[in-house]
Amino acid sequence: MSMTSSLMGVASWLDDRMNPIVVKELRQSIQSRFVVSVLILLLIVLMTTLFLYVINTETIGQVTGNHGAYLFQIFQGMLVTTCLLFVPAYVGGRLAVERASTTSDLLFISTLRPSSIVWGKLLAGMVVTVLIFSACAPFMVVTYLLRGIDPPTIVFVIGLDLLIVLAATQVAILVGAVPMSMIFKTLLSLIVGVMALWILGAVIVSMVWQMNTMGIGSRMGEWDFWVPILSFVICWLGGVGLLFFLTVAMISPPPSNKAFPLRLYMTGAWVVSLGVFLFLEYSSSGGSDSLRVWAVFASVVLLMSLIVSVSERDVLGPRLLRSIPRNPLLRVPAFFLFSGAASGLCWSILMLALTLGIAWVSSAWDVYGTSFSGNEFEMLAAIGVVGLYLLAYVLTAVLLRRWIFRHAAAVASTSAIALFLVAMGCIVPMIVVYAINPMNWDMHGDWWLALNPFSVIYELNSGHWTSLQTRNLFIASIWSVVMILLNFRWLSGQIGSFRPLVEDTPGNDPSTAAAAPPAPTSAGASTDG
Amino acid sequence: MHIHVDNLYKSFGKTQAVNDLSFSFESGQIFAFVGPNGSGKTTTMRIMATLDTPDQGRCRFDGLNIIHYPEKARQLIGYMPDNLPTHRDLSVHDYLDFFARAYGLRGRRRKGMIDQIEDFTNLKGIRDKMLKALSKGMKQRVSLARALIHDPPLLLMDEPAAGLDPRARVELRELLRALADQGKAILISSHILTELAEMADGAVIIERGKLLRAGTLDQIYNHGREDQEPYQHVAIRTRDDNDRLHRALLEMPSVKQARLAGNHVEAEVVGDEDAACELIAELLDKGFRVIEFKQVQADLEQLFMDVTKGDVQ
Repeated sequence: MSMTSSLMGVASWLDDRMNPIVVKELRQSIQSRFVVSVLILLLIVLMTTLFLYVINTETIGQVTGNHGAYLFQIFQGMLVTTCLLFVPAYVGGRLAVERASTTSDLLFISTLRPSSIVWGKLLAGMVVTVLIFSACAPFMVVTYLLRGIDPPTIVFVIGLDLLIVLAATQVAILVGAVPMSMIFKTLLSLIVGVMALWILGAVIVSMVWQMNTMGIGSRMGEWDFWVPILSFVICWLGGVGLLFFLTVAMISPPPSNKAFPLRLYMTGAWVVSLGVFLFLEYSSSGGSDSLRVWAVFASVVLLMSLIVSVSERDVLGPRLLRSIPRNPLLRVPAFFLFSGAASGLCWSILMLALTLGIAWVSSAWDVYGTSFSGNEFEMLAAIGVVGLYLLAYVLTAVLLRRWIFRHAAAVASTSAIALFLVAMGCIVPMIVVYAINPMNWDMHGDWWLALNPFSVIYELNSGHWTSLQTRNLFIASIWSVVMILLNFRWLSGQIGSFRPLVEDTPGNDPSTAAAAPPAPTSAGASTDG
Repeated sequence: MHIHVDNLYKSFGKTQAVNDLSFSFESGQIFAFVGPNGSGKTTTMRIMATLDTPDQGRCRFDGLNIIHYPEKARQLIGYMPDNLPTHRDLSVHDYLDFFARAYGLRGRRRKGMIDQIEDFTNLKGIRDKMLKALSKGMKQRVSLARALIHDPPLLLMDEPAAGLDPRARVELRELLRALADQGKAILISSHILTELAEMADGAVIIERGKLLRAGTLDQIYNHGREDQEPYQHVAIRTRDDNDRLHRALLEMPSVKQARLAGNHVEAEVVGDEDAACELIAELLDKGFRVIEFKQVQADLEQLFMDVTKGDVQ
């Protein structure tokens, strides 16, 4: 009796600590005809395929046959396609409906933390995925009996599939959380969905093909086998984590320190991944590309962060000011991690410089004798030039927004202005040159690439550092410096105002002490995230 | 709890949805939030429910600025929007259970609270029904139950009586009165002004996002008459001829105005409630056989028509 009551107590304790979103989503999934219909349909298709294959294949019973591997690929394709089409659409679609302003779903005025909401949605999606995988497991086992595939391969491929569906589900949650109308959200979902299916499909096909041809079972004892696998898994999970925190920031209340968890995660992920990739680089016997993979992956993420960060608030609200540490030693790192356009810019530049610097130093010292060659130095320099260009573009966007579009463009639109400028910088000179002399582009030299941030990357194909790369480095440097000077007051103002608010308590907000006089609403300054 | 909305502004593009709106009310009061369609009621309620942020201004619950601390404010707010629950694949009980969990209620407390709320809102009999199978009135009840699940001290209700049949309206009114008696502050927007007048302690009247009147019903009715003597509005029915009664009332010095209104006569008596008592005595002295004498609440509907112009933006 006491055993039963103890078990009941444990069950009740667990029940209380379960994420409410997971409980709700799973209850809805069980009640949903859509989920049940998809599952039953998939099982019918798998069963029919197996039946047709067996009765139409004469050599099915032969010892030398490869029918198991072939059938496994068919089943796995069906399973992953179903999960990729169904689970992200189901989870992301629900969140989109709940987020829509027209329905004002009350999920977002409960006391659930944004991270709990996103985690609950992701977890619920993965539970549904595991449910579908479990239902299909007997069919996968049958493929082993038909020969041509070993259990480790089955486990690896299934694990890979789960990672793929996990990423697709998180992407769908991110799209569902984007603050835009349902029409644009549907359009965005279609674009992202097609791209994701294309990219993830290519990843699955190539990985599964490699696993089948490598013969996983025989190579599991080799460290060189695990290096690329672990590199892939770490990058993949790191990317999913990034999307997770991006979604959390998106649904956090505007006055909150939205960027803090995201930047903290990115900094942590940067440190951990650096350690792991250095270890992989060191432990790989024949040398590997781990550190180069890390440098490129981290640089791409940081360059995107550079663009996005200028859309953050440039005036800190009282709530954020209150959370600034009073200890000056803590205030410096806090500045880099907290919400704010200047903070985001400084953090992105610092992290990019560190990434390129570490890659450069490790290569120059040739610590492990396996790192970068001369071409890789040029690659790092090219990434640096791209960074300078993007810095110049985002600061130009800030300047335009502050000076010209003061009342027409909100702070949140600065990144869009920057991207528009980048596109114009790439396209307009090309059109001008073509209009002047369509028959002879060379007569203008390559000046039409002077505003193109990515031209230095194309030039890497030449095998040496070209005059175009030197010229573009010079242009990007001068342009960046000029823009920093022109935006100096904007930047220094934010740095100077990064001081803790000390004279009040949460219940007695200083901004509530006196009514603010009605003033025309300006889009030029924002305290919103 | 004191709720203060101060100098609230909110625009959508060129449309100024809320324009310098200020009002306040407190626990135990039911405040009617009235205005023509498109006047900014829902926008204001969404800001108060922390679903939107204003361009400018403050909203404080007992000094807590909800614009800056929406997470803290959410524990204090029960919001009932004008649309109905969207979780179609959940039963009534599971829906309430989800929100109870979302508000951090655990174990027996959660079960007890759900039971209590289902009892209070009369949902016990339909707790296992799916939300998609419910009538509009039932969904309104579920919505109210959801708003009450964490026992918030403030209820924000956007058109809760819309689409309800007469019985459901009466029941809703009784529920709201009971909640106000428990000490909850209630802000309720509705177009059914006669019903609001019966249960509201005060009102906020807005048009084109701007405040027209705010305060207790007495304050609103006496708006602009602060320097004048107080008066009582009474309705009198007798077994005698109404014309004779009308004439007699007009001859009395304490009666400011009198008019025939169907089978009774309405009069404005200058002075406080004692003046009304003296009027009855005087009528009885004059031989009128009074069968009904009652104070008439000023007409919120008429007031609304007087102060608003029906403009929308």
